[in-house]
Amino acid sequence: MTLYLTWTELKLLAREPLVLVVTLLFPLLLMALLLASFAGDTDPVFMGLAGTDFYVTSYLGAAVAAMGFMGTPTHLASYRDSGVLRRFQAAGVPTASFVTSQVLVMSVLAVVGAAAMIGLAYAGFDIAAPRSVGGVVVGFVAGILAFAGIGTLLGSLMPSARAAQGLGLLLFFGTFFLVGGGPPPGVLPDALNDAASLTPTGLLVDAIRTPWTGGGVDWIAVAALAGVALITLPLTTRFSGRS
Amino acid sequence: MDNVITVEHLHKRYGDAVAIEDVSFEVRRGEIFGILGPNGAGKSTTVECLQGLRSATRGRLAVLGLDPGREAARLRRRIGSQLQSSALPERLRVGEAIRLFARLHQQQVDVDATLAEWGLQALRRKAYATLSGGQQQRVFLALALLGRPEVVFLDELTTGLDPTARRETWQLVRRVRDRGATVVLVTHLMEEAEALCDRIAVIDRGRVVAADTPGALTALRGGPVRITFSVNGYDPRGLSSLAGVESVSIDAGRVTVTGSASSAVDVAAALAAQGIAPPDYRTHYPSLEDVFLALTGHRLTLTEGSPR
Repeated sequence: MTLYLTWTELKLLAREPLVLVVTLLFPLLLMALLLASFAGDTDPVFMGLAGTDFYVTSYLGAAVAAMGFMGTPTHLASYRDSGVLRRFQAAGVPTASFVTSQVLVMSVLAVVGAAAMIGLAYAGFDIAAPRSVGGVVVGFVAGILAFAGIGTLLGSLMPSARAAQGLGLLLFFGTFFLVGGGPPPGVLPDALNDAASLTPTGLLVDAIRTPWTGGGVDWIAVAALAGVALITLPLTTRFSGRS
Repeated sequence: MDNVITVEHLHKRYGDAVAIEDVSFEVRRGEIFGILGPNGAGKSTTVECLQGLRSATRGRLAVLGLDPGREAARLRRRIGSQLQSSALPERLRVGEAIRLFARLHQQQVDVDATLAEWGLQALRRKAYATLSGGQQQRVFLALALLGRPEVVFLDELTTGLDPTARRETWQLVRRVRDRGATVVLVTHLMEEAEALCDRIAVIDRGRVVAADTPGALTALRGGPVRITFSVNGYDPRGLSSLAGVESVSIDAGRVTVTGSASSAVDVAAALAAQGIAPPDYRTHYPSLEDVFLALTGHRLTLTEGSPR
């Protein structure tokens, strides 16, 4: 059931071109724009990294964070608004199956999005290869699980799709512009950088960027993300079990 | 009698708001049981408690011998459900919906046969959001009947349908019953309850005010039968001596007789015996609307589908 539901959800997603554009194409274009702007720059404001490396790793995280803060919660809340969740529940679709299918759908999207970004970055720009491919994968997977948990939990708690969308925008831009989506950290006050690195988005970007740029696996960030996943996913299953 | 559902003193409150005060009834195997009442009476809450979708605050519920509060998962496999205000994902196609929900059942479900049975073959590749109201209800019925459930809950199945689609849907509900399932039908439409249900529980403000067959309800609680006809030069007062006749009045050539259901036959016979055959002889039986008014002191509804 879980896999079939996942497959069905993916097919439905493929029929919503606009959603795909927003989730996949938008971060991709923004990344390309920033890479083009800062190609060749290595600056202390980028934490000592090349501007391109800085933005590739930021936007790999951004795609996942956007899905977890905005895509998944809005999708689930609109399912509740329209009565789809009630129908699933009344028909006896196990809550765990439904939540798992949402995690799987998000994972597929995140992997596709990341592949497209990395492909574009290598094809068009001069990017350093990740120092630790395994480390990047570990950080990426931990990030997907954490944000799938956050996304499904927000989706099960938000009263309506509008509310989910509003809160999602706030959370996403509120955190992402501070951890590399907007101005580089070198121009922001230290206190803000410290606070931003403790947000899920900050942890996610750190978990990807540290191994990419030679710092090895950022175990603290990975453990924190895994902790978020372990707390949010069971809570989601509990909350979405009620109509 | 073989009861598939027993409800004893169901009470449900949300904080301080009481949704169901005290509801008790039984549903027998193989019947179409109607739960009739105005919007907000507690009908949907009752059937949602019966399906284990909401928990009862107090009271004892048994559906197919199971407790919906504690054995919801086991119960779900044996019941089918059409919920009020529920939907499918907009872009899900009819064939995909049948296939997806069929996965929930242990027995193999023949998707093609299901589509054919409900006349959905032509809609197979159409997305849910593009279907008409009647087509959506047909899909929901098909989904509710997957896996041959023993009890099917249908909540406001025909709300929003035009009269033709409504009558077609009624035909489908009868077919569900004829296939051996017990049907619990929630409705605020008198006409629907009268046309479809074997027995009815009338609910008002969270209480059952009456439960019986539609015929018994109207015969016992609906007030007298009213007979009207027009005559020229005939004195109808003699009719008042007939058994069961309660009153006879005449107004500008138009006669109104009230009395028991059997008196209608006697009045017609008395007229025929005198060679009188009024062209507009009509018998007005009390409707469920009259029953509701008599029981609660207010009208059930003046919206679509209610008589006049």
